[in-house]
Amino acid sequence: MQTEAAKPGVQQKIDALGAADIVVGIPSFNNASTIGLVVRAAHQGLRQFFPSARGVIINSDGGSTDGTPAAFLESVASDGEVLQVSHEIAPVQKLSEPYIGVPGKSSAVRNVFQLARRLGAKACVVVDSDLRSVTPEWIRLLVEPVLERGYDFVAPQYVRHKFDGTITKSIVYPMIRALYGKRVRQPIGGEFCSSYTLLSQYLDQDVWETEVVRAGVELWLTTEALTNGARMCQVMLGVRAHEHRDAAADLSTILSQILGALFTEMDRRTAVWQKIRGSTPLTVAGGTGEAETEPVKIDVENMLESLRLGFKNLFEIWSMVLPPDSLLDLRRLARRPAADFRIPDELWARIVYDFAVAHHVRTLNRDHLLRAFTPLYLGWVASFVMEMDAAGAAQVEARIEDLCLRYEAQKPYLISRWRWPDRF
Amino acid sequence: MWEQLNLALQQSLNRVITGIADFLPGVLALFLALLLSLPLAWIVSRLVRRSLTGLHFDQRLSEWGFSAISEWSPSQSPTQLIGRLVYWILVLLGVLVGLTALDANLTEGLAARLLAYLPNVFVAVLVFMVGSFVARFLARSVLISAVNMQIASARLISLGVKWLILVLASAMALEHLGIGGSIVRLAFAILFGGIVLALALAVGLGSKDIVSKTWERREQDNRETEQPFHHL
Repeated sequence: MQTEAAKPGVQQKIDALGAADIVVGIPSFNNASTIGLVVRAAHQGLRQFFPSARGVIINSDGGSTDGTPAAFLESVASDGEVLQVSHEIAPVQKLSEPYIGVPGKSSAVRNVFQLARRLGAKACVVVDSDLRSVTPEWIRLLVEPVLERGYDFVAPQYVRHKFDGTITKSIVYPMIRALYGKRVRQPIGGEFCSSYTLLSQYLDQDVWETEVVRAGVELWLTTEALTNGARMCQVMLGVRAHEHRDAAADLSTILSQILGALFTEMDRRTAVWQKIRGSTPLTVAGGTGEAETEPVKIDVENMLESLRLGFKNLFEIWSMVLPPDSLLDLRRLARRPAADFRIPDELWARIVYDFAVAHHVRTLNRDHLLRAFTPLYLGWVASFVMEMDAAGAAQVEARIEDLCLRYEAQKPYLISRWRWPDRF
Repeated sequence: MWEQLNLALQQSLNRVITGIADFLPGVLALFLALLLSLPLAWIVSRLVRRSLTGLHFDQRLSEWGFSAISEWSPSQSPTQLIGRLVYWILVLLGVLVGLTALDANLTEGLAARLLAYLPNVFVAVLVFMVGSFVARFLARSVLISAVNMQIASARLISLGVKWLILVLASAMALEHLGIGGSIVRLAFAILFGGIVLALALAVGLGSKDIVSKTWERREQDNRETEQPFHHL
């Protein structure tokens, strides 16, 4: 497949631009209502904080039908240097359930990286096009560590409501931390910055057409940076408000995609994560975490009902994955009244690890396995919400820290099960 | 007169003895074929069983979703079932070979009809196995999806889907085998229609709570100012 950077029309535009110090990439798909804000913030950020650097804003659009490309061009200032390209959304992505985030984002990121490499950009930032809270400051926070302090990868951190992002809090962050030994608080953040060296390494990988990158490009980028010894840091960007697109993809689809990507990465990097013990903090290179978040509504009773229904109907499937003692603990929990319902951290960590092992040995069809996890996840969320209902943000972070320590403490269990999956 | 009677009796006796003399070698040949095929069948079936045991055939069949075969098999072991099948097929072939010694035309006709029927048997077995696999796979998919949608009758719907596909596969297999004819078609139509009706009722009744909760939530969403919950 001809890459976007190699197409003749794009070649001419690149030749006309010559070179750039900073590239800001904006993947898009039907984001006409928000892309203007993102473009203006990017342009303002480049002009205000990097006036002597040559910045180029690149939009990679996946075939929007709401006028997003036109909205992008209209929002660009007269002195802005821009490039607009398109990325393909793979047929499988059109036929299957909607992917979370921008459809075809992996293709868009690849486009942006290729063009950034052609332009010789020292720093390449990617920001989502559906953001409502982006400011010019975000560009400074993301680019500065790469351009001025020699970092290779800058991961984002956000100020979120204490109950937002529970998949990240309960599974992705603790697992990435336990597996790869670095405390990347937001491993699947939509905004990040890469150095020229690292993006070249990304482009040299032969995995861009695989499901693991398509389903979770941000997770893959983070994991690749962690395991390649790249210098990483994270920056606090503040509140991340965006247009809510997850309604099209239901929770079991989201979980299936995220967990599928996470577990597949474990398969690919077994030799790396089995040697790592404990974790070290990641430098926070800028930004403040003080901001107001809006209240969220959560139906705890509905979630508990999901778990009970799951226990009643999916017990046979769970018994193929979980050992007898975990099943017994779950049975006892399912019988408890709502007020006393708490999933212990050790049990939760072991359940996630058991599902990772089942994914690895293909105990059953992988899609079935990951979707069968949904009621368990909802049970954890209900337990977490009820426990932390009156807690402040700092207490919640301390609670998540405890959970992460349990994940790290249970890592020998994961390694043992990975090597001898038939032994419970 | 007595001489004529004697002559007639002697001729009849000669014919009987000749008939027996003609028949006896064939019978002996049949017994010989059986005697040879029995130990051969035993040896081949032992070899097949050892090979399948070495390949962990029972475990793999279970992983592929055919654990029901274990339940029907002797000693819960499909390996044993296949071993016995191989044994009796070879014995049957031995009998057929022995029968050619008796009457070549008989066995020729039988063999021709058997050979013509065998492809139907293979296709029927294949259709049933594929149907069984698809039924189990789809039943599990439906069960998990229905549970995630909080449909109370998830298990019933899953069972309905499984039996729908199994009934369809069985009817197709019987059609290939040429068994039952219109009776099978009629029974299939009644069963299929019944299962579809039961499924429709299960989905309708089971999801009425979900539908009313969804409408309530929409009403609440319009009134409330809180943001929706983000899992990611």
